[in-house]
Amino acid sequence: MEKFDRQIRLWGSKGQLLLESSNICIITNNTQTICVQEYLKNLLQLGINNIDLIKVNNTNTADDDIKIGFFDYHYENNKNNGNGNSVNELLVDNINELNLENYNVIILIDLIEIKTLNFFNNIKLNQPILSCYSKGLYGYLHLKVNEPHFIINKNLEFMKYDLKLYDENWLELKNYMDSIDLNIIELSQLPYVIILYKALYDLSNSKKIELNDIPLNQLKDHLSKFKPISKIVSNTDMNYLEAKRFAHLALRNKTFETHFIEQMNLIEEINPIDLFDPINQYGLTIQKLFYSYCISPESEHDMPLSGTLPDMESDNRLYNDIKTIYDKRSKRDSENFNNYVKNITHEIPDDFIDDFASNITQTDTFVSESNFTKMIELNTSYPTLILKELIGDQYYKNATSKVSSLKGFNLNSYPTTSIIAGIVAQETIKLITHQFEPIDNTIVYDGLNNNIEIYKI
Amino acid sequence: MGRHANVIKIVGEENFQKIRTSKILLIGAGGIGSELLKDLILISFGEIHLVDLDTIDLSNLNRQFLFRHNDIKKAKSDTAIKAVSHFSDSKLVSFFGNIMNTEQFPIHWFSNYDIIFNALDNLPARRYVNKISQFLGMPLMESGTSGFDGYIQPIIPSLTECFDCTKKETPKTFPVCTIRSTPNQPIHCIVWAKNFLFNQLFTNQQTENSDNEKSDGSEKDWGTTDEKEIERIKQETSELVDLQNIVIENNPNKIINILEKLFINDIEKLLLIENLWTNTNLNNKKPTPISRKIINQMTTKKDEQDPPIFKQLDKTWSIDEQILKFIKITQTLMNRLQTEKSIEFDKDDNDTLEFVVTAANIRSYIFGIQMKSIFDSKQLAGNIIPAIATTNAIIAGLSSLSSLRVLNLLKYAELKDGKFTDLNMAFTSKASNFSQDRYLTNPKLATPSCKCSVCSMVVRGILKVSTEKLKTLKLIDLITLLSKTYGYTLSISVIDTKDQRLLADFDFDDLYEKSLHDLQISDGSILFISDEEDENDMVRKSMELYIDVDKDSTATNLIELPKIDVPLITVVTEASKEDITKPEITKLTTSGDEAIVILDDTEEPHHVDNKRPISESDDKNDSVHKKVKKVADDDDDVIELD
Ligand SMILES: [Zn+2]
Repeated sequence: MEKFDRQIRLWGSKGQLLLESSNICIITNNTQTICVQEYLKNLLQLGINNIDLIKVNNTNTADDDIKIGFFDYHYENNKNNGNGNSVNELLVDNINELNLENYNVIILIDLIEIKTLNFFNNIKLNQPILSCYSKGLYGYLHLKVNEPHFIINKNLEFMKYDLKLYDENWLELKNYMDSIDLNIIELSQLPYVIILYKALYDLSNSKKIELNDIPLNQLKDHLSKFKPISKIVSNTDMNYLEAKRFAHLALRNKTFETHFIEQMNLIEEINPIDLFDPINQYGLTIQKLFYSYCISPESEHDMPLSGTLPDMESDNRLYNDIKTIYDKRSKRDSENFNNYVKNITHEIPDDFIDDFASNITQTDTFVSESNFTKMIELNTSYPTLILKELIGDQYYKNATSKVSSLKGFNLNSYPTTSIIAGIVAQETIKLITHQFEPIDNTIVYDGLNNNIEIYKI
Repeated sequence: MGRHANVIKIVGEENFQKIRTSKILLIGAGGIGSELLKDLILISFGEIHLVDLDTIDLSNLNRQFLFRHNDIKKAKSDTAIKAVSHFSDSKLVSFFGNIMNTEQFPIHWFSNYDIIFNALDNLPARRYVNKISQFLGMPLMESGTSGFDGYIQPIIPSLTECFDCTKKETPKTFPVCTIRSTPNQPIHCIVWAKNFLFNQLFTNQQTENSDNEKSDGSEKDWGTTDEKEIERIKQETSELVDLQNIVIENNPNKIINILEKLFINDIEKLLLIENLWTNTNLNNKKPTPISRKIINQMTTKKDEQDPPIFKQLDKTWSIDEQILKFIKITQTLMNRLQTEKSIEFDKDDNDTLEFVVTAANIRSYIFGIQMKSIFDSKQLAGNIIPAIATTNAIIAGLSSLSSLRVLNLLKYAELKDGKFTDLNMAFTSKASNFSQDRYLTNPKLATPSCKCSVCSMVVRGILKVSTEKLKTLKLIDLITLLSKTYGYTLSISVIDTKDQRLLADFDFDDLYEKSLHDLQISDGSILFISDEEDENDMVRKSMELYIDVDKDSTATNLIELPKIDVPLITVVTEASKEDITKPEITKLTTSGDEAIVILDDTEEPHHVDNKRPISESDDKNDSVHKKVKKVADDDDDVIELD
């Protein structure tokens, strides 16, 4: 735990556990290349312990003139666990022999032969496939994800709060807000959530607009005109400024709801309850939760309260009162959701369900059903030239002479490969922890200018 | 050897010979340093010298791949060099020490190298090395990481921006009264427990330093003008001596007195200062003292076995558990004090961490602030910056690759006419956002900022002098010499930047007849020279003069002034003048009972304003917003300064 302290601060002990229990498969035609060594070094440092390093015999060797034993993973093996190796070296004669279903992520290193690429294009796998190659000062990385990949992103800089002020059925909140008399309270100490609430309901009543239909600019406008507030709070008071700035939190977030429905539709297509995959437990668990959510009555009208009350300028007592109301609601929503899930499955631990329910606005799904070989069909731009040079000459026999005029191509650069291997490991972390958005879906690196371009293919 | 053949392919035969004769200085053997060392070796640089002042800690092992479990507590630099020797054909040398130590690393030592790589973790050392690079005109590869974010910046003195051209965020400070009387955030309580309470109780120091004045004689920033409150703070400090005595006495039965004083009596006294709680503008929340009953209850449990929750460092313990742990850990520290005499707070010393966290949490409870787990508090108390191997690998790769262009060794991409602004810096982007952020931004290097007090507002030079000459050279001799050589008037002011001591001035000539040696000017001293403006509002540019004492020379008369031109410039504006009169030297703020409480480590993430032109290849991605990049230091290890 102590050893991984600095990274647990990024993805929590749950994320670390996922890394440590993951199964990674590296497929390459030369296990001694810089890229393989660099990548292995990165994985082992992260605490990833189950790695199959598969050498495919019948493929061409891409680039085997550099053999540098800077990282002795055999030594690491002995150190990490007395009961077996972290890295298992395997040899297969043909890629068709591979059984790839037991891995969380599959990594192809330096495999650029057309036959191989087509094989991985056509293969039906639920797991993400990352493929990389570097040559000279250039390199690329490509991600293919056939099944929806789920993310609970708790690491957003900005939590997407939902104050649910528009929820008229939330009696506790309503009663509390009604008990606050703007005429007797010190208005400079009023948290913006109260200011927004009062303005929202005043606007709805006076203009006879449904709470759900109030547009943002009208609410903002009303904040400046709304007498009981504007009379006593000065335009420069922090809490008043915050109220204007966060006015959108008072309203229903329709963009998000649409996005969420899209995610739910993805789930319905695959019906995860029918699937069972002992390896991709975590991803499937999230799928099940999504599914439970889709069929729960919750989803008909409202999402569970995500997180709780944000920090704001306020008198301590008022803030704590309201925070208590939000915390209670959040707990209740989580419990309700927990019950729906329990109706469907008992396999999912409670803290997992709570985590999902209280972060539901932070979830996202990701699919990238790309056709890998399409990469070279792109045209014109400089990075495409790089890509063509890297893998394309098999397609365009004549093109090679044209593009190999690219500066710094026919050489090997150690740092470039180290950068590419670092990026591949970075993406591996994202895919395994389910907490970060992976790359969508191709990176081209140009070491001459330290430039990275991202393409969706 | 195949490796050489490949490097030759990259750089060409002639440049390869340059690489083989290059001497590299790599400062820092931490996360980026380990990666850089490997990359630089594999580029085949002739000599690589590695400096680090740290020893290896368990929490380094997730990214500093050259270290093993068996290496814990060994010196990083030496261990790293040993770990890479099996694949190195570069000459490798390690140094164990603080790079800012002028005795171990005088300026002529730096001048032996061709390029410096910074793989540092703190702001003062970064600024110091930046300044050295400016004095020597030596290129510097600056870099840093924090979690998924990282940056590199090649610095070519006088041609591109230096490290200090963009403003860096300085550590957070809090007014005394927030810490001592009216905390409202967890960090306030942690600063109180760590910088005030812990130091007073366990760190052997002169406690009698006056509460009224800062070391530079200026008035203290109390954050309040309330006389009663200031009075109370002073009294509270003096009463702490009693607590100190309990600790020294090592009497476990009196720990209850410490609890009562800190968490009942002091709070009750605080409540008597009505202004603090009635003035609505202050908006302070009244504290509630801990009940005597809980304190008594927990005291009776102090010899019982630990409850299992004390093993759960990521859970927030109840107030009862906090108090029980506080009692137990105070006892442990009291015992240790018997043999250790003085204990420093160290986030990796669990006893000190648990003391600070429980004390802070009890105080938080009193003030209605949320309590924190040991895990979360550690990040605040130790100012920990997250770090992962992958970002370090990427950044080190970028840095080593860029150095080939800085040294103009890439035959495929030679810089025309030394146009270093064609080079790029690089920031890796936050990976955790949903928005499809760029993975990496690579603005071109900018020219030096004309307002920068490090690289533009002053000229820099090295004054070489023998030990004997230092003893005989009078201040007035130096002034005359400077005037004759560079065109200064005789009424220049001379300041020793080490302590901002004024040595001479247009109406201060008392020290003219003293020798530099008498004035305590020694190897590594930096003198700041500034002149009066003339009648045309013109002024000779200011100078920083590094005193380089040649200890090997027995010459009585050796003195070598730097060969530089000092231009006449129009008088600078008031605002920037301030920068000049206060030359930026590496000043260390001490923690503890000073006026402003400073989060001691200067490892705060700093911001670099990223508003430079983006390189041509970016045209496609215009829509990508150019935001302020947050970049930060590599890891958590503290550099101690004297
Ligand atoms: Zn500068």
